[in-house]
Amino acid sequence: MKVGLTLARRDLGQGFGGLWLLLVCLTIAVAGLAAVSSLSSAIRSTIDSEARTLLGGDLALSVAQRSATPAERAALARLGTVRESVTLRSTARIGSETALVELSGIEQGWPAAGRVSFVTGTMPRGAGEAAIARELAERTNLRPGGRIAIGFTDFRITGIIDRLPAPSGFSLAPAVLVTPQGLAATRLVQPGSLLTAAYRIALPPGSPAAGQALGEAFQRRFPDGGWRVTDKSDAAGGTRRFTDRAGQMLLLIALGALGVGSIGVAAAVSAFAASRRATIAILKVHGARARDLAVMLGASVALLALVATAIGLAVGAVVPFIVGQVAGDLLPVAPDPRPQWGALAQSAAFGLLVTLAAAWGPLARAARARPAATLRGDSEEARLQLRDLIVPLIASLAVAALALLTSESAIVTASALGGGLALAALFAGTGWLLARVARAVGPRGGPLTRLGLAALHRPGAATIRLSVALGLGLSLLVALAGIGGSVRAELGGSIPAKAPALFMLDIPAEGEGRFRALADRFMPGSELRLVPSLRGPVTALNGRPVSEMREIPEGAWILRGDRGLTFSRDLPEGNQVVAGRWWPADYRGPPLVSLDIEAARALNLKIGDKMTIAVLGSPIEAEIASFRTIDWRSFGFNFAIILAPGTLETAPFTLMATAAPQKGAPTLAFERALAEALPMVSTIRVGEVVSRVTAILEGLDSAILLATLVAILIGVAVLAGAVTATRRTRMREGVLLKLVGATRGQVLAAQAIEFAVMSGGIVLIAFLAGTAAAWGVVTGLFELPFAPDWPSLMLLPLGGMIVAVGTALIAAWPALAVRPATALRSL
Amino acid sequence: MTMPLIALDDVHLTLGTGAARTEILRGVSLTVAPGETVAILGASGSGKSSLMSIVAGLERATGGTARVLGEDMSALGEDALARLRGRSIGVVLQAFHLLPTMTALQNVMVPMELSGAPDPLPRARAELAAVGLASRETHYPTQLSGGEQQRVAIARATAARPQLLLADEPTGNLDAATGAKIIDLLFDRVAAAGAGLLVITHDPAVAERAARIVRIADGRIAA
Repeated sequence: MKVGLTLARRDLGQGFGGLWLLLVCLTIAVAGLAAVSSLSSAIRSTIDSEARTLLGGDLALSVAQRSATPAERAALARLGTVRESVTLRSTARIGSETALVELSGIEQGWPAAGRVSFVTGTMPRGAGEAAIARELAERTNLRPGGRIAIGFTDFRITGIIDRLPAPSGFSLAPAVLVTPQGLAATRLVQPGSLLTAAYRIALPPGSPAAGQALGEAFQRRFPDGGWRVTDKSDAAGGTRRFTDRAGQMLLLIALGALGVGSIGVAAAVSAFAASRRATIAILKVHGARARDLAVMLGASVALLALVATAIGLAVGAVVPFIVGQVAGDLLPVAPDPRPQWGALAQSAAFGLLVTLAAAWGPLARAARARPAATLRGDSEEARLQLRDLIVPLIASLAVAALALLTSESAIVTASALGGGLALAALFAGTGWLLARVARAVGPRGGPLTRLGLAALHRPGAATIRLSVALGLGLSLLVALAGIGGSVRAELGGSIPAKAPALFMLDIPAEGEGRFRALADRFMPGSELRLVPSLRGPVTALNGRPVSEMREIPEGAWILRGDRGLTFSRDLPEGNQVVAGRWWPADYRGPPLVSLDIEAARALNLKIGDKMTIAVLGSPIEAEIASFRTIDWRSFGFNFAIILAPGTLETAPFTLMATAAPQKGAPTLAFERALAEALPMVSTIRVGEVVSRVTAILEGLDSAILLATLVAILIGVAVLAGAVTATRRTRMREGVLLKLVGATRGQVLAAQAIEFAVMSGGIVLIAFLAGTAAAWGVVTGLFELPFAPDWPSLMLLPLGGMIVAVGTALIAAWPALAVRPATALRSL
Repeated sequence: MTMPLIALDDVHLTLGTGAARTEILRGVSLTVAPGETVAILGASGSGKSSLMSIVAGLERATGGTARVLGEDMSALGEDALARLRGRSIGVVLQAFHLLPTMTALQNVMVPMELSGAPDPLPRARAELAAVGLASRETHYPTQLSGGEQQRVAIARATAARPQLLLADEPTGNLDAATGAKIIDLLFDRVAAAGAGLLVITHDPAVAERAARIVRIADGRIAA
């Protein structure tokens, strides 16, 4: 070892050979990994450290469509300091504009923990005062002192809110905070209103029990109340889930980029070992052992790998800070700007393990090379032995284990790793086939074609390596573009074409006549649909309380919080009964319920099982009569839970409506008149919702695209490295061609043919593989029609080919531009 | 008066700058007539290979005038020089320098294909047969001996019927017996093509085969 290190120290004086490629590939790959994992870790860190502030207490208990009863309120008060908020959606009127808002009446001293931060101004104190979210202020140009009308009253703005506690992290509409008196003045709180009462509780210091346990005890005490518990560990749950899932997807792509980088690392180490071939042979002649020579070479590789990892980690470490500065406002929580040591250590481990796996084989072979062969001038490498694969195999398994252990979903990670390997095998096969075809076709063409094709199959050609390096990134890019294009087409094209323009909530049952009259007057000929609507949670299945369930299965979202409920005589449009029977139109009997088949499957329910739903705190146990498939894309009323007539009619309910005006007819006058006449009605513009969803998807799309570009960038670096590694051969060919009369254009053409045939084959397979993967995801997973933007999708492989050929020609240029006489002296 | 194949007038070549500045050629003047065979004889480092590089258009003189086949070599661009070689000048080098990814036949065809000369295949076949390698058409350079490789190189240089053949130490990498055969072949093929020959060598025995011997020493014509 000592001898090896001494040799390494002296050897460093000769420079790093082709190791620059290792530095480039590993730096980019580790930077990508560290950036992605640091950012999701930083968001989780904020959520964890500020959980109390984000939640507004140690614990939040919420209930739909009602406030706590005096008994419940007394029980809540025994837990700690309680602050109530009552939230509902409503349409606010600002001058001639209308806007959907999330209106909360909050008690003095709200929230129980943390605080509301303001851009400017303060909390409302009197009944006629309101504080509004920055988003609403910016959209409507409202400032403190301005006025906003909600329900049957109007408010003076006292403050513009920057951030406020929100249990989920995401909200549908901007917040407006008023006092309880202010909320009462709006007269929007009516029996059956779709409101949520939340009780944030600050536990006394040193409280022995955890929030979740206290909340569950409360749920057990009031089992039919429909109470939902959120404690600190689940603060900003929506944001946390979104971050975890998006983070995992980005991490997998970054790992794919590292996989591409490993090809560059292996190529760089091979080139480096080749540059030391003479040194190794001479040292062996003078008695150096293979192990010492491996240490000599390994030390340089390790040094560069550590430098690359350090640079990559440094980039990753500052990403949360930079993202916080640049895009902090766009994120539901600001990422913790400090370096995320755990995420950085994980990224370093990935980078170094992959380097070990990629570098071991080339180093072992170089150290074993027979000196006689080298001294004779043979450039052949020592054969790969089975034992050379042991360390790479262990390192690769460690990478897979680390990826699986740190992932959110082992199945997703395992599938992605398996898919990545299959794709790598596909492109290795593509490279092999290209080389075989080039060999078969080669002799038939002209001299330039022959030269170009020969470069694809001559000994030491990097065709297979390049096929994998370029193919992986490019097929991923095509797949993502195909998926993104189809989803955007669905959101931007087909849905709005058949969706209603307006979606209205909280229409009082007795106001139906006025509602229809307004629609007739302001939107004549529009298609109206109204259905009864209530909200309530599922509290038990077959008598077993949901609160006692340890884990809620994936897909069983109907058990999460309050669900929309309706009752209907007829099977709604777009629904189809797939099990059991729909009830007769004149059914009058014990409560029956019809469920969405997907949710039923997730919960393993069968026809005849019992489901208990809490409506305004009263439990209703209904027998499951049928399962339905629902076309969720119809944008109509899609209720997962529908009850038979005769059960909910007596409960105070409101109506929901959709309005599809005649094509192109304006809706603004109707919205304004509705806000005046029935101010309790919340009007949602479908177009705006689509825009919001599109904006979120596009944000995610951009992040994924960036991660994919890292993979492509590394692929391009590998390509440039492979071309540079064959510099001597290219220079020799170029000079010899010039010697026998070839012009520079002809020499360049021979190279262009080589790169065009290679990249053409790779992009074709990448296009087919990427499109097939996108088709599978879009039609199989998302159940959408496959409708990518074909022209842009086809431009991707074309662009990929131009980039590949351009990069290769640029990398080859120095070898081609060399003066013949100079080159002949060195050949 | 017939135009000379080569007309060098006070040609200088200086490489490197500053302390590394080396004067390789110091005012060389030389004329070679059409069909004439001339040997440049000199020791290693005398500048003879650099002289050939200037005549082949692989190197540019830093002073004086070099006219080859009537063309002022310093006035031609890289591509024009390449075309001139492809059309009218054949080059044979000490280290053979065949294209490793092409067969013997393809190597001979290349200059004609590049210059767009007619019937490259039959002409290459005939030339390869003329150097005694008809049975080696499909062999790659690595499958040929040194002597065979140099024969292919000669065939490549003469196949396009150049007016001038340049040979730089054509036997330098070969044993004496093989070298002698190669020299016989070289002069045969030059005579068959009716071309002029400038052969660079340090071997007096090779030089004596030429009609005229020009000695070079320390970058100057010695006699």
